[in-house]
Formats: sequence, C-alpha cells, structure tokens
Amino acid sequence: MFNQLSRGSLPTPSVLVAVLVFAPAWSMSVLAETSSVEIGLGYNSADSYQLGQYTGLTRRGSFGVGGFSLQSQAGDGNDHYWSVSGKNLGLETGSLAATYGRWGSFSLSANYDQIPHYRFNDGRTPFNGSGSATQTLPSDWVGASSTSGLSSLSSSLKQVNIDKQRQRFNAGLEWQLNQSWELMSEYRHETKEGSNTLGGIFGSSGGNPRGSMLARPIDFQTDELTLGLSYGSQATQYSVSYNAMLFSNKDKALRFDNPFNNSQWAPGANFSDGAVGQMALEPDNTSSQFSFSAAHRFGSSTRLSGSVVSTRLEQDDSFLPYSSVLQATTALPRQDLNGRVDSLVGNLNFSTRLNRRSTLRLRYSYRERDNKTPQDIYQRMPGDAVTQQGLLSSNARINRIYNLQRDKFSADVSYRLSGKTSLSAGYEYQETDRSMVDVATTEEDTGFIKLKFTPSTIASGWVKLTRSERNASNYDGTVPFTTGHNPDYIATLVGDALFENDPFLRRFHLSERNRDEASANLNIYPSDEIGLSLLVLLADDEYPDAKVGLQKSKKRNLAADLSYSPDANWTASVYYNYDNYLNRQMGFARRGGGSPTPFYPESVRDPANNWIMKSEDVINTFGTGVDWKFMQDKLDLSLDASFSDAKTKTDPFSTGQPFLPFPDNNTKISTVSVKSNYQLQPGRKLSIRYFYERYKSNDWALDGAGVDTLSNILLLGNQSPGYSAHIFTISMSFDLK
Amino acid sequence: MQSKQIVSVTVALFVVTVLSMAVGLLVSIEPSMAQTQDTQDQQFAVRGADTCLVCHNNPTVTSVLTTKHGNSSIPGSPFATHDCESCHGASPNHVSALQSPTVVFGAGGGLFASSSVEAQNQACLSCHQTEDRVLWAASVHESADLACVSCHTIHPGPNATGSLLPDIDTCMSCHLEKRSQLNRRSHHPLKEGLMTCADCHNPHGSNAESLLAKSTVNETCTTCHTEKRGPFLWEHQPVSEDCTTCHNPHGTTQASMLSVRPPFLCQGCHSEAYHPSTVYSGDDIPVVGAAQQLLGSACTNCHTEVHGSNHPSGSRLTR
Repeated sequence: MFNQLSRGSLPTPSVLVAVLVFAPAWSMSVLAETSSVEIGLGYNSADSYQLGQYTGLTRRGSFGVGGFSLQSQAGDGNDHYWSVSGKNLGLETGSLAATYGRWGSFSLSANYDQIPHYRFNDGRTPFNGSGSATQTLPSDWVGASSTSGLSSLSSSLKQVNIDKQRQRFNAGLEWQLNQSWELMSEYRHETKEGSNTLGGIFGSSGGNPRGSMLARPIDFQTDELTLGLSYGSQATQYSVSYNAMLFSNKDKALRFDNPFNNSQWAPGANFSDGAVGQMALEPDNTSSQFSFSAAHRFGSSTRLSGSVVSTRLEQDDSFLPYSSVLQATTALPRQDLNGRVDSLVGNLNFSTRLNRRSTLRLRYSYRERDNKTPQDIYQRMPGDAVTQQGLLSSNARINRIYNLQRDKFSADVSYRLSGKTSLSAGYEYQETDRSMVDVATTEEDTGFIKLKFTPSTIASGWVKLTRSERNASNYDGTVPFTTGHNPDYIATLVGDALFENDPFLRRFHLSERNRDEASANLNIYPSDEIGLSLLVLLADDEYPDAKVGLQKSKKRNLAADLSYSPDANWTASVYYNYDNYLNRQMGFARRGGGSPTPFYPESVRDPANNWIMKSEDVINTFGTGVDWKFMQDKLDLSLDASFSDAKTKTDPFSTGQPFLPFPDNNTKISTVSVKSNYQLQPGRKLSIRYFYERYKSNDWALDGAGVDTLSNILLLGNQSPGYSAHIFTISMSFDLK
Repeated sequence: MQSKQIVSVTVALFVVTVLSMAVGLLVSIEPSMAQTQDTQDQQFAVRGADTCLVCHNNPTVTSVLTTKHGNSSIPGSPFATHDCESCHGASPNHVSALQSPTVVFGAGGGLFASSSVEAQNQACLSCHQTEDRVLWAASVHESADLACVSCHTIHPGPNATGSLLPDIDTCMSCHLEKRSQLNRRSHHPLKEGLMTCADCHNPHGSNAESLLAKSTVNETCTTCHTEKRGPFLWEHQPVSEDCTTCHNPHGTTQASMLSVRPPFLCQGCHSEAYHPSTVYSGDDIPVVGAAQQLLGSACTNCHTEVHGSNHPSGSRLTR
C-alpha cells in the first residue's frame, strides 16, 4: 500500500528539518552510499475514516511525503557504526529509528512508531463530553421510557468520532559478551489514546434494559522491561530472560446520565429520573515472567530442546461501589480483587534420525493456568438504580476462577520411501482439565498421515490427512450455575432448575468434536522463469452431542500463485484465493417458566421452537503485480492490483414459522497501485506514485439503524463505510555521499 | 491431573532442561564452525573472494558486498575471515577441478546439486544461534526441512538496500491461505506495513503452538492488548483460555476479527431462556423490525464487557 506516505498540508516541519539541518551536516564522508533523504507532496481525494483506518489518511487534501536513512560506513579502522532513519514522517504512521554500536560487541537501538486506528466518524450522540470519563445530557433533556419518546433527542445530537492512536517507544541493548554469550535488554513505553464504543446500561428486566452506546475514553499506558542472557555454540544453545509489564488505565470508570425514565411495564426495573450510571473500565494490571529455553544437538542426528515459562498476573485496583446512586444494603466483601493468576508453560521437543531413511520426533507440552484470586459472594445490583436483593436471590453471585491444565504429547515418524517420496505419520494426545465449566476433562486424539513427493526437478508437493476426536463425555451443564451462585440460594432450588443454559446445549470449545482435515500442496517450476503453487485445505468439524449449539463447521480454502520472471528486469505474478466457511447451529427458543427457567424434557418440547441457523462466508480474492526496469535500470515501474469480494450469508430456518431471510452482507475492496522511480542523475531519484481504492460494503446491523431505531437502546447510528479514493504522490530522493 | 503430578511434571521439565544445559556447558568449549575449519587446516583460497570473482563476477553474486556479510571491516563477518568460503566452505576442488563447492545453497536446479538442508543451515547457525533462534533445533520449521535461505536472501540482488530480513510476502509464499485473510475487512495492519508476521510469530522456533512469539495465544495477544489481560473479577471463560475461540487474528469478514457474527457466535455457547435462545431473522432488522440483539454491536450493546469486568455488579458482563 502507500506506506511511504504521510499526511499533512505541506512538507512537514520535521521533513524540512531533516533536509535543511541534518543533510548538510551529514552529507560528508561519514555517510555510506545508501544514505538518502526523500521529500515530496501528495494528494488524497477522499474523506473517509475507513481509508484512514491504519494509514491516518482520513481527510481530503494535500500531505507531505518524507523519509530519510542515514548511516555510517564501516572501514578505515572504524569499528563503530550508527544509523538514523525516518519513515512516513510527519504524522500518524510516522516512525523513527536509531542505532549505535560496535561491530561484534554491542548495539544500542531506539525506535519510535505509531499505529492509528480509525473506526468511524459518522456516529451521533446526545451526550456532552463524548469520549471522556463523564458524559452528561443537555440541561433541557426530556426522558422517556423508550427512544421514541425522547423528544429532545434530535436537537441534542452531536457527531461522534471513534478512533485511537498507539505510540510506542522502544530502547534496546544487545551486548555480545564473547563469541558465545549475549546479553540483551529492552524497554518499551506505549500509550494508547482515543475512544472506543461501550454500552452504558440502565435497569434490568430480562433482555430489556435501557442503554446507550457511548464513546468511552481510551487512555492506556504500558511499560515493559525485558532482560535476557543467551548462549550459543554449535551444539548447545540456551537463554534465560525476565520480563515485567505494567499496564495502567487513567480512567477507572465511565459515568453517564440516564436518558430514560418512567418505565411502567417493568416494575422490577427502576429507570429513575436523573440517575447516573457508572461502568467499570479496565483496571491496572502487572505481569512478571521468567523463562528459560535450552537446546542441544547430540551429534549430527539428534536434537533436544525445551523451555519453561512462568508468569504471574496481578490486579488490585479498588472496586467501584455496587451502585453509583443507591446505597447497597450489604457492603462489598472486599475493597479490591487482590487478583492473581499464575501460569506455567513448558515443553520438550526431541528429534532423532533413526537411520538414513527415517526420523522420529517426540514432543510434550504442558500448560497450567492457576487462578489464585479469592472468591466471594457479590450481591450485584443489575443497574445503578436497581435495589439490591438478598443473599437468597439469583443476584448473589460468586466470582468463578477459571483454572486450566493441559498436557499434550505427540509422536511422529517420517520415512523416506525413495529419493523422491517420503511418508510421515503421527499421533497426538491432549488432555485438558478445567475448573468451574461444563466439562472437567476433555481428551483429544489426533492422527495424521502425510505424503511428500518430488516427482521431478520441476515439481514437488504434499498431501496430508488428519483426523481428531475430542471426548467430553462428562459434560455437565449445571456446573456454571452451581459454581457461580450462592450455595444457600441453590439449596432453595429443586431439580432441573440448576440449568441456566439449555441442558441440550454443548458449548463448541468444550464439547465432543470430530474433526477431519485434508490438505494438499503442489509446486511446479517448469523453468527458472515460471513458478506455480497450489494449496487446497478442507476441514470439517462435527459436534455429535450438540442438540443445541454449533453442530457443524466447514472450511474450504483454495489458493493459487503464478509467477513469471523472464529476466532480472521484469517480473509478473498473479494469485487467486477462494475461501468458504460454513457454520450450522441449532437452537430451541425457551420462554417463560420462572427464574431460573426449568428443564424442558425433550418429550414435552414443541418442535416448532426448534430453529437452525446457517451462516456462510464466501470470499474471492484476486491479485496481480508486475515490476519492470527500463533504461539501464534508470526507471523502475511497478503495478499492483487486487480485488476482494466477501459475502456473508445468514439463513435462519424453523418449522414453527416462516422467517424473512437476512440480506447478504458484502464487502468489496478494489485496489490499484502504480509506482515509478526515475533516476534523473546519479544520486537523484524522482518517484511518482498513484494509489486507487474503492471500498463498498453493506451490513444489515448498521445500515438503516439510526440513533433511535431500537426502542430501548440509543445507538450511535454509524453506517457501513464506502469510498473511492485517488492518492497521488511525487517526491525526490537525494543520496548523500 | 493432581497437584502432585503438576509438581512432578514441572520438576521433570526443569531437570531435563537443566541437564541439557549442563551437557551444553560441558561441550560448550567447542569452537565455532569457522574455527573448526581453521584448525582442520582446510585449504581456503589464498586470494579469498578475488579467486571466486574470476568466474562469479556478476551483480547477483557481488550484491553480498552491500550487506553486513560482505563487509570485511565487521569483526566476525564472513568477509572478515574467509570471504565466500566462510559460508560456502573451503572448496579447493571447486577451484582446481570445477567440482561442487562444499556448501551449495538453494533448492537446486543449478550446475551442482544442492547441499543438504542441514548443511546449508549449519553454515548460518554457526554464527546465528542465540537470541530468538535458541529453539530452532527440533522446531516445526526445522522439522519441515526449511532452509534459512528459503526465507533469507543472502545475495539480495543488484538493487537491494542491504536488508536480509524477509517481509510478509515471504511467509505468504508458503502460507498461501493467509494472504486473502490479510485483505479482509477486519484485519491487523500488516498490509499497511505497520506490523509484520514476526510481531506475533517466531519462525525460528518457540515454545508455543503455531510458532507464537510468546508462550500462549493469550500472552501473545495481550502483549499489545494489555488492557484485556486482567485478572478480572468476572472472567469470561473462553477469553481467559484462548482468544482464538472467538477471534481470527489473520483477518475476517466480521467486525473485530470475530470468526462468526454475533449474536450467532454468542448463541453457540449461550441458550438461556428468552433472548439468548431466540431465533433472529430478517424480520428483526429495519425496515421490518429492530432487535437490540442484532443491530449496532448486537449482544455487546449490553454485554459490553465481554473480555471481563471488574465491577462488583458486573457478573453478566454488562457493567
């Protein structure tokens, strides 16, 4: 893409500084031949946040193009080196890098880079202070029980932009202690600032609370320090390192006015006038990690490697109160979480050549997540204006602490049948233990067979078949309920009331699963000039126990690459990808029957409540590229084009009633890029670039959904993006000798 | 597995790795490859690269001189010792009788048969075995017989800038299916040049699945998305186990790199009475209808803290 561009109205000050100040000073003999400075202008024809998603080019207009790369040249007995470079200088994707060191001894480096992320700027909200931690309604706001009654809404709407900017500074030291030992340290300071979407909820009445989509503040900071020591010889390598990471969030809470009031139909939910809601934002956290890795080569045919990583995560930010407006009748069980999660990851890899034809590989890995956070009963208030209930209610909740332990062992053997063919086969066993979820233990057996072939010097390829079966026969859907509620409350319930979810549900990442995969690759090189690669992937997942939930998932991928390079002066390539993802899930609409809803035996279930949802993604991607060199390499010309057409089909079905189908969601992205570089004279190069992109999309979740389309929730009303953009740049680069 | 087993596995891992380290220490006095060649008194060309360039004086070959490898002023560089033969091995018979050099890089197809992948890689590993390459031995890419020069271009060509680092196209040349994912509506900024595959993966070997740079999927993701790391008071179990239960970080057609669009993704795990178990259809979107579980951010209109909540009233991930 146009990642050499940077935005601005004219050549940016930093670029001018680079050219006018640094260049004369450094254009002396210390510079290597590759040192250069680039400066130029560009123009963007489109106003679009989507275009600027990761480029920062969100507005129509001109901008500056700038970059430089300056470095010392080795030689003349100077064993020190340095380099300074800048890319996309000026604004939002700009980066700077500098290094200084002594060859074979040490290296100091510093980098600064930025990543913008623009989401949309066509949102609207009635809140003042959007994007901040306190959001208020206008003084003349008139509340109502649903959005249709908010009479002052339209006159109160203001534009909302959702975007954020990440800025990162890195500094590093690598110190070659001797030929084998190396010491490294790295420091990272990163900030994220901007806004994102968040739903601010009031009241609680089953699935009908009142709420507003808000622009929440993002003001994050992360500091990371890594220290490492590594050793390497021909036979043995090992490294030990320590990493500490501290995250802090400047905003601990988001407070917002309640736009709703006077809900008469749900007496249990109190949407009181003038109340203020409060959301908890992400708490500060810390991570510290110790890791050790080692590898050894026994002779020329046997290798052993392994590692151990131990990590501790901690979090102790002060809790917000249960409610920002009502006094809780029962105090919080503690003032902060004192949260702590320890994890341990280890693995061992062993491979040995058994004889001239066969190789054996053994692998073992271990992962443990040990959540040491204390558990307590929290008497939740579903909304800030909802009164607290007693301990014998469904709102007396215990925080579940999820632990996990996974052991995985695999063995595979490859055998060379001939000089042109080899066969490999393997087996893997994985056992996962989890706490407080529907399945305590899952076991998965996987086997594969793979044939690699090289029928001639111009062709090679492989075919692989894989089968895996995951066993989760001890599935118990009551566990999430019984581990997450007050035991005294549970004692008041009888029998099947312990099912929160449908008892026939099988959660797809925990349940029985049979997976079949087939993949094949073929590479053909009929000559040095032409290369063709083909890849086919087929995968079918079946969840045989799921009467409710995901039942089937299919994946189909086809990829083809063709390249042609008749000589060093020009190359051409073309590629095509076809992807298809299909999911089929089953549901049973349950309504009524108290709280929690009792178990519905299959015999009394109305089949009309069964439903099936099929969703399918179909994506076709095509691309081509050509590079030429003309006029004794004075002129480089490159052309790249790509087209991506993604379609999502969603098809609901029920015997009970006919449904209108969903319209397809489409995203079509067409891109053309032309770049030319012409060497006007030695050390002077003129670059002209053109970039075109057309983005068309539709999405039924956004299109036509205005701020007040939903009766209970104020949306931001942003629509599917679309644009056509032409971007031109012209720049000159100067080599500095 | 019981705690005793946890301890025993942990201890076993430490013992093996420490033993490996000890073995390594015992043999760590061994010299590097270049020194081995010297002590074996191999017959390197007296005139070094000048001997090679008599026949190989073309831009593709001499482009190595624009790189660190070709800079004789850099201590330890190939051209600071035996020039071309530092990597290609002492090859007196190649000079005198046009026999194959000791190490022939590449996939073959030239005048001489390629050396084994192991021999090719050993030439590189004799200098490049520390830092993030410690776990190369027995790694997935090594087991797949991948040569260093499959990804790294040592002779970069006449117009190269000297960098030997591969770009994302290098990875895509084998992982063909990933290219279309990077072009989807929802993706990480790789094609914009602000990230590389190596930000998440270590192709030289790692202790995690899929050659991840960190030890788990979640640790890799939360290196940048630090705010989602927790621990939270109210965890969402699939989030704490594996981010890829819901997201595909290589790119998807759904917002936020979700594999499947909500509410259908969420309904794969949630079938409580009323709205979680309700079927949604074209009847529930404008202009026919308007379901708050479908429009805008779907389920996360209300269950907005889907990655975890630290609010004492946030057990339903709404606060």
